[in-house]
Amino acid sequence: MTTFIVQRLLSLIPLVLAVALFSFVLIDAAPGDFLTELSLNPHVSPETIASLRTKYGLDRPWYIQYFKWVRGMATGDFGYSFSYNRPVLDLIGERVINTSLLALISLLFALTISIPFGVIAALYRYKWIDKVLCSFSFLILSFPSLFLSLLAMLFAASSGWFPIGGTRSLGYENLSSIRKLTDFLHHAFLPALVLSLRMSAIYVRQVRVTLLDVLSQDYIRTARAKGLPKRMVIFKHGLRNALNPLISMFGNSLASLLSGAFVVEVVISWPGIGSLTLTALLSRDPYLLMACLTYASILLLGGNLLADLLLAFTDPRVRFVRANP
Amino acid sequence: MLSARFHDYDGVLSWSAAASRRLRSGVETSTTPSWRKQAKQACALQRVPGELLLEVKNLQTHFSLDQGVIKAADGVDLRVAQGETLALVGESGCGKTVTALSILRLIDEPGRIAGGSITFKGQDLLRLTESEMLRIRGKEIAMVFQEPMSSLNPVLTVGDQVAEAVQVHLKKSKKEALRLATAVLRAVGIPDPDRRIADYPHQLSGGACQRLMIAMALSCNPSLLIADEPTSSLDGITQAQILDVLARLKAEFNLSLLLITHNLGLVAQFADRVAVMYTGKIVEDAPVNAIFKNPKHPYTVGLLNSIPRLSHGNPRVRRVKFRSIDGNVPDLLALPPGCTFAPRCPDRMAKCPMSFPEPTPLDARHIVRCFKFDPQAVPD
Repeated sequence: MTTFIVQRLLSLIPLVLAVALFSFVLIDAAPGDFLTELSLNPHVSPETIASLRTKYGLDRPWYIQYFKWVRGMATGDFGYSFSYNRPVLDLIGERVINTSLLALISLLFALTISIPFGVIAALYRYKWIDKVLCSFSFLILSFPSLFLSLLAMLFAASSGWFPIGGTRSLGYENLSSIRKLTDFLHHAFLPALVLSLRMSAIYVRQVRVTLLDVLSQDYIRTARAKGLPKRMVIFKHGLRNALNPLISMFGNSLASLLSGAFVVEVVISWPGIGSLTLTALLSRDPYLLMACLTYASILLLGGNLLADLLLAFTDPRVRFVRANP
Repeated sequence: MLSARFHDYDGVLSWSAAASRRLRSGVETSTTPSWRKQAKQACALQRVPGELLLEVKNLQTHFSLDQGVIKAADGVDLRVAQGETLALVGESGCGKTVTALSILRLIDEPGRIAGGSITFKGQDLLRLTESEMLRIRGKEIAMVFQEPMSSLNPVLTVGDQVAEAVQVHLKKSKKEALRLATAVLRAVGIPDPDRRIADYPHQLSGGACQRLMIAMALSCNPSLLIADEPTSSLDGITQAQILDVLARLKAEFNLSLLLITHNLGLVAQFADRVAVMYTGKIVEDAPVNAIFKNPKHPYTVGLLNSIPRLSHGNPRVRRVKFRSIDGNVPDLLALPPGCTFAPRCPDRMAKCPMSFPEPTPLDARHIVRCFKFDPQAVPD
């Protein structure tokens, strides 16, 4: 198992490098660079622009920039953000944590919402509760995240139950550690809920369909023929098998959570990677953008790795293949 | 290890009673597990041979589909006595499995049991509540299914799957249940059961999976075992081994067996009585000798004629080409009027398409549903 994890982690490196290379090419292919906007300013002379371009290394071809960046990465130097005038590492550190926590909380939300509702929908198939759940999840899927975020903002503003934006209240530093945690969760609740809604809607339908499929399998009939009580048949024999496709989906969900976070973070002003990526993209800040994209690809690949490990944990057939290659 | 190999080899050669006796007197009696002893004692107290155990009367199991109602079981009558083996035979789709699942009340939507009675040990199973039924399933009536591989849960260990019924029905702790599971696995001839209980079904062969199914079914010492084509998906040698196990344990525990099959060779070896089923009805019910030596219903005759005989190359055996029954099993949504076998029947009479013949007793144990044997029927 350890060998497998190490192998997978090592295989992350070339993948991340390839993603970075691709991103560099794309950024280079886009017209203009970080200084284009500045050069439109009549008060800034073309000489200043040229010297700045040399200073930032933007006059070099993209592959030189790429290799410089890779060399920097190897020593833990993520480069310099031109627009913030700070090292990239300083910028993204806290934001990575914020976004990761947001993603984690919304994942937990999605699972706690979707598994029970999915099971209910499957057990009461074609009954009114199933129809309500299915239509409701379809409704949520057809809402854009932007709309849901605005709705959440409206709710927070009109009810006053939740803070609008940010990760912490004023005077956060003076709170006890437990109060710090509850304060953070209080702030994270709405953005995480909005972020998890779409995923829950997908998961509810997924759990329903796979559980229905599993419940029609022969081994469920065997379990019933043994005289096991219904809840044991459904949860021990049914749900355990139905969770496997959900776990496979979960690997990709982490990355899609991030793309969902783009909108939610910007609208609800959550200081995370999503809003930072948008800033980097708009101001054509190459190294900052690279760091954001690298984080996104690590999240995707790491999520898949995590899903594989979880699957090996829940499905003995996966384990068996690994044990005897 | 030696005993296990001996056992398997023995199974390959023959599963005759003599071989089983030799087997039991040889290796296994010295290490008879307490499970067996207890189970045997329980059987000796409760199971009086010949006493009526299960009686199915006029069972109606219907499936309501958009296209119409399928009567998968349409007035099925069955009787299984204590210690008896009843073989339920018929072509695919004639309602054998539905009948078995109806006895356990495992018919799912859109199917439902529309009528009749299923009397088991004096109580009508159709009148029991679902929670009372849970105490019958697995404990009193157990079932072995056709596809052992897909009938086992892939994510639970072998030991867990055998032990869970023991935990539920016999109220044993997990540890005790696992110990009992090991004993039952040994009894069905799975080698090295102490290690196998930690395995998952995909690590076992098809034959071992079916042994496991039998172990699961027998773990709570049921009175009636329903075996739904227990060997159809296995190869010949494994079939023989599985049948050996079934025969041995059946004799040991005086088990009653409802054997669902379309393998008439199996019927000849195993059954005490045979019920022949066609389009949801029992058309002939007779002791096994009568069925093979003196079949009455034209459908039974047709079934027997369709067995290929191994006469090739043997000069002493007359080469008999096997004949199939003309036509196909009718669509259950569009059954022919009257006797459903009439369109395929070589002895068809004018009144056959008018109505389905009632059961006619030829003697105390031989019942047939055909106008040829109905004394009230006026010959043409």
